Amino acid sequence: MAVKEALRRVVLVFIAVSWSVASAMAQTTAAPQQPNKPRTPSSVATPVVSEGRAVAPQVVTVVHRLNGLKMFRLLLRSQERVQAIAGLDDAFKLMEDVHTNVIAGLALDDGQTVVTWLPEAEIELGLPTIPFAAPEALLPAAAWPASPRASTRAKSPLSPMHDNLNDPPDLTVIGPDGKQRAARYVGLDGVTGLSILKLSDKNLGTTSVTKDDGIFAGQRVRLFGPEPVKQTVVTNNGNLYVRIGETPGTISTVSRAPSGAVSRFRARLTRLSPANIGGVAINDAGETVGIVDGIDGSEASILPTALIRLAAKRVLTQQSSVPKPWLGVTGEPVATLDMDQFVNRGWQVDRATTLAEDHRGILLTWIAPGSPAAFAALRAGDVILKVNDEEIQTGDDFSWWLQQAGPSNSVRFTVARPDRTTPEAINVRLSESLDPTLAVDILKHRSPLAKGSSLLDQGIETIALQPAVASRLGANAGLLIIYVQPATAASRAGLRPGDVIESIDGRRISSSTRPLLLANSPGATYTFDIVRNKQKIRVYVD
Amino acid sequence: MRKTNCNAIRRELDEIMLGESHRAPVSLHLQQCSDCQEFHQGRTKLRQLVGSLETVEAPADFDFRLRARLANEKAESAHWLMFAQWSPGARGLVLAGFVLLLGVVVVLNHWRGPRNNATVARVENPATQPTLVLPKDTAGVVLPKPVAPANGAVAANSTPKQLHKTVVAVSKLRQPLLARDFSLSPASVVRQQESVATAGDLAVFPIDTSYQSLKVSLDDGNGTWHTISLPTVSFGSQRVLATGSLSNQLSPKGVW
Repeated sequence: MAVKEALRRVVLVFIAVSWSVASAMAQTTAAPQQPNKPRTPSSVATPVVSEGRAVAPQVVTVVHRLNGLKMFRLLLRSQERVQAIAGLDDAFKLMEDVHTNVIAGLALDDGQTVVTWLPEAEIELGLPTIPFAAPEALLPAAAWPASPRASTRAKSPLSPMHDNLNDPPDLTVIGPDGKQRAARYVGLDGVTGLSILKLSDKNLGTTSVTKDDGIFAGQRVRLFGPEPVKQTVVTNNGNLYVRIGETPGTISTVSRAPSGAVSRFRARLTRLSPANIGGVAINDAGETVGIVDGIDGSEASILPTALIRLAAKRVLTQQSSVPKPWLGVTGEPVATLDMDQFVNRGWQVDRATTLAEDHRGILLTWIAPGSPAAFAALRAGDVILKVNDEEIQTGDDFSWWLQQAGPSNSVRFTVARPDRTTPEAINVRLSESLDPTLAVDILKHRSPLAKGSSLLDQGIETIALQPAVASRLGANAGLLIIYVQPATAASRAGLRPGDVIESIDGRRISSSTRPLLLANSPGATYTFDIVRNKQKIRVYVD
Repeated sequence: MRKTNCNAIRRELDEIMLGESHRAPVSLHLQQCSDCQEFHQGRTKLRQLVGSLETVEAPADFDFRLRARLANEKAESAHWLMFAQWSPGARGLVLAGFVLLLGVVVVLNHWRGPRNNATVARVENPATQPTLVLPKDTAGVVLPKPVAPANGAVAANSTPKQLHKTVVAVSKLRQPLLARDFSLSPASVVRQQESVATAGDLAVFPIDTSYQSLKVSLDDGNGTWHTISLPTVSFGSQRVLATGSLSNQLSPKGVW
């Protein structure tokens, strides 16, 4: 009887305890499925592999915001034909954010420096620089006097807009821990196109192990970069949600500089789009191997880590942007050309055949007026065979040797010409430019930043407004100031971005006229009638 | 008159049977103390009143019922004493069963571990909401689906070393919040500017912007206008406006 009672009690206790435990587990199950916690900074670069997916702690998200004025500056640098702004959405605010670019960044191992490929970095760099060559370019270096032309536009600041006039770069870095940190723009490396950012303190908490060698065709890489998340996360506050996405790929070709070091490599990716550019490439061991800086056909072009570190070192040393050498030409490697392209440039077939079979040299297709190449009498159709006696086969070779020479230094070209039977030696003093593509575009194609350059020479960048748009600012029509270069007469006089110039020296400015030529007399004072905050103000610029 | 003396006299008065005579000292005290004399008269009347009542017969099972009720009350007030009163064999069986059950629970938890590496802590009643004590590095978590607004809180955390370990948020009341019944009231989300969630297994960050496009009409200088749309967000090197080339490359389109 006692045993029976004991068994009954055991069963009762067992049922009671089971019910309690099952109830607790049911509550846990009933809770919404909580996704994994965000990865906290790791002290090693080895990716945390979770459920078959890799996570790269050295990859951060860079958010670059542009206000309306900067968007107008971008507009002037685009292919759009712009005489004036004729209409604007009500949501378009001049002084508020109208565009956000989200791109990957590579956190260097100091936990404070971030390297990224900002597509709109040029907007943060003051007035466009036209790197005209000095007339003395053909003279021996010892005889070069100061260049009068270089005293104007060529002196655009290499540092971004760290002044009280223009909005500074609006940059935010989001680390692997999800925290958002304001970043300072240190400068642009003209050679690589990479932007260097600095956080205020060493709190990024990531380290980056880089891999400079051991890169080979067939190697697997993973490309990490921010991508939008669609309809998977609550968005009831209107925010856009992004995550670090991963795109696998395989290295297809590896290019080496004349020094033997890897100068670039290409990878085939499972997904390829402009959104991949700026992504950080990482190998299976979690080591950083490069940053994507372009798309070449069906492949991604990747800058190796050695060049990335050099770029960061250049910019951090100077604490400003570092230009690249500028020759002032466009061209194509001979190895990539067909016979017609030689013949069209005045080459005879037999000589062109010899050149093509050698696979050496760069065929020049255009010479920028006023450039070092123009002063050196280089012409379209010339083929540069050597730089300082070093043979050239590819575009990267040519770039590498120009970089070795450095900006403002002299190089010696060996040039084959259609009308000469033997190559010639030509000395050229290089100029410098942060963005040679923009310089070429200004000189070759478009005008807003080049034509009627008097206001630009005063350090004032403007865009014309039709009356319908100007009325929003309290003006009838005129020129909207979108950038004022610091330490100029215009800035000292008090002109500010956002002002609308209605007249200069009593001449009214309409959107259809191009009255940008100022009297070019020394000591002249210009009278600007402007509208600021819907109030008319007169400003005198000496 | 000493109070202690009065007490002794009254105690003796209570012990004297009805009709018995007092001792001399008691009689003497009653003559001198009006209070005790009044007490004596009251008690005498009470005794006479009770003595005049009829005798009440108790039920036959009164004794049994009284003992049964006392036993029940003792059992309800101390369940654990039952276990102590069990036989050694019964106690051993219960303990063995409990250990077996704990083993099953541990195995089940381990099996469910990877999906429960972040534990959600909720508060069922905002009015009695205890304060959550979370690890210092918790940045806040966004739930993957919307919930109704309330003052409740949701938090989750684990460190890389705890990927397969359940973390329990504990209230200041030192009660595991998992054991609370929250099924009837939804909890809200702790949302910070820097909040982080995950989608799948990748971290998700909110960015203060949204998809839309802004229209800008341009006068090309030839008497014609055209309107372009400017996206408010772009990823990677997606240009807001076409520039003809991807600038800033090492050798973009053969530009030197």
